[in-house]
Amino acid sequence: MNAKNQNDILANYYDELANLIEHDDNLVNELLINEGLSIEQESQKSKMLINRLETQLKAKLKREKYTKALFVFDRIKKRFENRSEEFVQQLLDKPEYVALKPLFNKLKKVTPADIQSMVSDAELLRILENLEKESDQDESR
Amino acid sequence: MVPVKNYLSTEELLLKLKEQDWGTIIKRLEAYSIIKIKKHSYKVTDDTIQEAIDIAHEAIRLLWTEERKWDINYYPEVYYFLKGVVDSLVSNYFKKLTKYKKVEINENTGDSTFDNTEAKYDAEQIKKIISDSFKDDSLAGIIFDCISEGYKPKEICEELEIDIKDVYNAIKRVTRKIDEVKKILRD
Repeated sequence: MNAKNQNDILANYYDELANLIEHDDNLVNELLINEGLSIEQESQKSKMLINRLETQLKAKLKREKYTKALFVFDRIKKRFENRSEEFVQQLLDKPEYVALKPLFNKLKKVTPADIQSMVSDAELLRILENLEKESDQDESR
Repeated sequence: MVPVKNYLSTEELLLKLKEQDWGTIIKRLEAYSIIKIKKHSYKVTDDTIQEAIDIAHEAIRLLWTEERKWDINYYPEVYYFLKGVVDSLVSNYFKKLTKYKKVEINENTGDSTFDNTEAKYDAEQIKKIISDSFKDDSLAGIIFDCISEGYKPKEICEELEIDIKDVYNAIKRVTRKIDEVKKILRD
């Protein structure tokens, strides 16, 4: 080792140690214990940390889906306003969209709760997106 | 060739993060953060160990909250991504600390103990200080040299024909001795 100063000598040791812990969990435990940390306590804290972060990420995901669903629903609603009631009914009578019918039946008064119930069902959101595509195709004909 | 960036959607991220063995990753990252702090700090106290743990947890929080975006093409394994985040947080930690020290030094002594530490000794003097610190524990001295040369604990125990537990115990002693060496170099 051609060390020029204390940083090189000591840093080299720490760099090698940092590489070693990637493949040696026993060494990780020994190092943590050496610093006065309890493996069991740290493990409990880790579980709590991950549980909390997972809950937050799930909530964020739900919010994102809710926003997306609301956005798609609003777009379809606007398109339907320019279509005849007959056209809308024919489209919603298709088997793949029949589940959405109650939502569009109360077109004027959809509540956030209605949208949220859609979001909880990922399949329903996908169907909603298909419906939008199909209404686009029909409009272009 | 530089891989094309691939940031996961929130949904993909959640699925990917749920697959991970967090018990192992967190411990490894905490140990990594402690090593990084020790590498850059001449004064290691209970506070700095706690700081290292906090930095490891902060790196994990930044990943889960998407404040730091994980490029899965560049870092296929999440641990390596998190290591990068820890490096950046440790660097910021020391930047702040150095800035604070400089202000303190300018106001009080006009001299820097933090920045000038490495200039106080040359390589030979440092080698001697390190070597002296191991004079009553030759195994720890050998282990220090082996680790510095990149040997793995398993290779060391085979080479020296000793139990792996003895290698781990010696590494712990080395770590403590290095802390003492840093104290000598600092004071």
